[in-house]
This record gives sequence, C-alpha cells and structure tokens, in this order.
Amino acid sequence: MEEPARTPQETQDQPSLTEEMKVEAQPLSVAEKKLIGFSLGLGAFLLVVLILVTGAYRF
Amino acid sequence: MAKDQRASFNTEDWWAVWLGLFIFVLSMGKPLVGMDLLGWIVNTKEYLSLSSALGPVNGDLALPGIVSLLLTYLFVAVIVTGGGAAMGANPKRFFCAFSLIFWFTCACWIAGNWAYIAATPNKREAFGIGWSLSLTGEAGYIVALLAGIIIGNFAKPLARYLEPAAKPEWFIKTAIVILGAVAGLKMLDDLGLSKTIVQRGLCAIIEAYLIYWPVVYLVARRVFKLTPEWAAPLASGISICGVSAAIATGGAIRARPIVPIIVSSLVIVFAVVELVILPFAAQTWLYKEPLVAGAWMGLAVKTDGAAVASGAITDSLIRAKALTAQGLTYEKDWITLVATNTKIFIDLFIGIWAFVLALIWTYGVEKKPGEKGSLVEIWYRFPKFVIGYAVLFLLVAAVGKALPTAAEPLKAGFGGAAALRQLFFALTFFSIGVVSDFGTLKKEGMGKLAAIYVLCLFGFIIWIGLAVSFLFFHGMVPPLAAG
Repeated sequence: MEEPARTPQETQDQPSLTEEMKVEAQPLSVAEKKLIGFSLGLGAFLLVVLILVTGAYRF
Repeated sequence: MAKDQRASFNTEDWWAVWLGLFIFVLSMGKPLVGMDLLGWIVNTKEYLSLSSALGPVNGDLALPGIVSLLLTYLFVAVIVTGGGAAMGANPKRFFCAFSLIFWFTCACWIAGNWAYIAATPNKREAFGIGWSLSLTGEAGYIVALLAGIIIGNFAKPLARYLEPAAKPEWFIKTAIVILGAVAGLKMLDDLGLSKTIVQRGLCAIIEAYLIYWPVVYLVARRVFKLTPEWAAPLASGISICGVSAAIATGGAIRARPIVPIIVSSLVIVFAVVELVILPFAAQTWLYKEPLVAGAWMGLAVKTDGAAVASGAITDSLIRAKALTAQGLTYEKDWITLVATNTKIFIDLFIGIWAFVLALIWTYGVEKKPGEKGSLVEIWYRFPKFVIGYAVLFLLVAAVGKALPTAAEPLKAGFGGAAALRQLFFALTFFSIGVVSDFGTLKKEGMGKLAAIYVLCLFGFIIWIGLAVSFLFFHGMVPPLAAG
C-alpha cells in the first residue's frame, strides 16, 4: 500500500481520531450539492443508455 | 509517493506487469519453439493420500512432486525477491519473509485439495469416500485466507516478520496480468460472450463513480457530519477501489496524509469480511446466475485483491453447486473473468476521478484557484497492471484470430503459467489475511468511520451492486466444459 509522505510537523500536530470525528459539522456547499446532484443524474441517465445500447433489457 | 517514483517503471503495478509478462513469455516456449520451459512448475490435484497431491504440470516429466514444488519455490522466490529488491526492500529480509509466506501458502493450498474438503459428488466414488464438503480445490484459497487472518490477528510478531513480503495487491495484480492471456483464450472460444461481458462491464464505471460515490459522500456529510476532507476519501474508498482510490482522492483534495491511511485500513478489514461472506452467499442464491455472481463480486468488494479473490472463490463454489444441483459442468474462470473485468473497469477511472475532484475542490469546495490539478495525474493514477492485462489479452486474441491453428498450441503451452497464476492467487489470499488487522476497528474514534462503512456497504452498495449485476448479466452463463 502506498503511504503518503508526512512531515515531522504533521506527525507532531496530529489530533486524535476521536477529536477529528467531533469537529463541528459544515453544511454542504453549493459546489458539493452540484457534484452530488450532477453525478447522480448523469449516472442514472448513462445506466439507462447502457441498458438500451447493450440490450440488457431483453430478459 | 514522490513524483519521481510515480513516473518510474519500478512500482508494484509495473512489477506486476514485468513478472506477468516474463511468465507468459516462458510459457510460450512450447508453442513457439517446442521447449516446455515451465513444465516443471508444480501442480496440485485433489487427493486422498498426500503422496499423490503434487506433480509437475507436464505429466510426462519424470519428476517427483516434492522436487517440482522445490523448483517452483526457488523460481518464484527469486523473481519475487528480485522485484521486491528493485523496489527498495532488503533482499535478504524479503527473501526470508517470502519463503515463509510461500511455504505457509503451499501448505494451505495442499490442505484445501484434500478429497474430503475439495471433491465434488461426482468424484467421491473414484476416491472411495462417502462424503465431502464439495468446495473444489479452490478451498485452498479459503484455508490460506483463514491461516493468514489467524497469523495477522493472533500472532502479531510473526505477522510483523512476514509483513515486508506480504504484498496482496502486487500478487493479485501479477495474477491478473497472466489472467489477461486467459481472457484472450476465452475470447477465442466464445467471442460473443466475451464481447458482451466487456460491454456490459461498463456498468461498473457508472455505478461506482456516479451512483455509489455521491450517495456515500452525502451520507458521510449530512448524516454523520464528516468534513469534506474525511468524506471524500471515505466515499472513494467505499465506492471505488479501497486503498488506491482513497489515497488518490486524499491527494487530489489535499487532505492530510493521515486521512487516506485510516480510510485504507478500514477498507482492507471490510474487504476481508466481504471475501468471507459474499462468495458463499452467491453460491447459495446465485448458482443459477453465475455471471451475475461474478459481476456482483467486482462491484461489491472494494480492493483489487479481495474482489478478484472473491471472484475466484465464487467461480469454484458456483461450479460445484451447478454440478450437484443442476448436473451442469461450467467452464472454469468465466466467473473470475467477469469479476476481474468489472473491477478493472472501475480502476481505470481512478485517475480521471481524482483529476475531476481536484478541479472541483480547487474551484468550488475550497477555492484555491492557484493550485489546480494536473492532467499528468491521470497517468500517475492509472493502474499500470491493466496495461499488462490488456497487452496479453490483445496479443493472444490477435494471434489466435490470425492463426486459428495456433489456438490449441497456445492453450497447451499455458499450463505452467496457469499453475503460477493459481499460486499467485493463493499467495494473495494468505497475504490479505496477514495484513488484515481487525484490531483497527477497536481503535478510538474508528466507530464513526466504521459505522458509515457498515451503513453504506451493507445498506445499499451490496444491494445496488446485486441489482445492477442482475440487470446486466441476467441469463448469461459460462460455456459448458468439454467432456
């Protein structure tokens, strides 16, 4: 497994995982909402296209 | 990984290509120049008495099985240690660790081929036994996995000693490169089925990146309140390809290095859980839909090693069940190929997805326009072992198509490479077990991440994967074996 390099400072300043998980929630940004919505919409559309093109609908 | 290293030809991915191509070239000695260069490689078969468990692939060679096994050990240990040393491992340390891994794996593989474990009902009479577990010889993989898990979790000093040479991703990628030639041979047998498998396998890309990823990201952010820095690598790890995708995503969004490392450790643990459960579930409920089962493994299991390994176990379990329940003898490896194909398609786009996320994070989520992603990242992140798979697939398919009389000699010469591919599979299973640390789940703070993983994986990824696999592979079955 590849392991990203760490600086000594990063290692020293690492908060515990418990503290990391307690960080205050940030609401979804506009960019995130667009990413989620666009991905799902495009995904559903492409699945339908692939079903039609490959003939998978023919059971 | 430093940029220079990412651009080099000396990574695990490339060494999977070098070893796979080397083994393939040796296997072509027989069809090309009439010299069986790998005929001495050890082959195992189901046995009742241990003395008949081993023998060389070329049955005409008067070579005792134990000698064949020793020669195989020396050959594999040398080439693998060579690759490990080239990648920076201490050769002596690596050789010693790999030797232990090899002998543990072989012991497990041989144990799994014992007739009472492996023999299917049609073989019991020949062995003179009244019962068997009917797991086929591939039960050796399960034995190897369990042995590895026991060592990895209950014999930590031994696990630490083995760790430098326990490289499940490298071993499975080497096996996958060799599998490329198998895929080429299969295509010569059944072009129509092969083409359909490739076309329909494209569903995996859409599903992993455009369905799974956004839903997991949404769950992580909205339900579990993770920050984008944690949610994105976790979404990639759960949806796409575990370790590689988590690391690529962490790099793309400039997450702290600790984030993908922790996500990766979770992915490995859950992949092992899936590897133990899903193939048996597939055997129970999907033996009448074998290629659905193969695709399901590729879509639901989230590391390359575990996904292809799951495909291999599912292949043997479903073939055994189809024989007992339906009297059908399916050809080997088609289910494995569907699982592998599905997983490879998902892997292909990791680099592109990382590039897309880098752009979105730079210009949308964190707005640092001065630091945009680089197109060369797509190449750095491209899974290079796929090149080896594609080269052998296209080479064998092209030669077989151009020279129809070459197909049979190609198949005949491939015995040694096929045996080595099986060995690399077994090494993968054992190594996966060794590196899986279930203690990870007990570490403080892991609960939230593990909860997201469990909710997403068992809540919808496995079931949507099953539904899409059914949609695209319903009604398709492997050809029946000749004879």
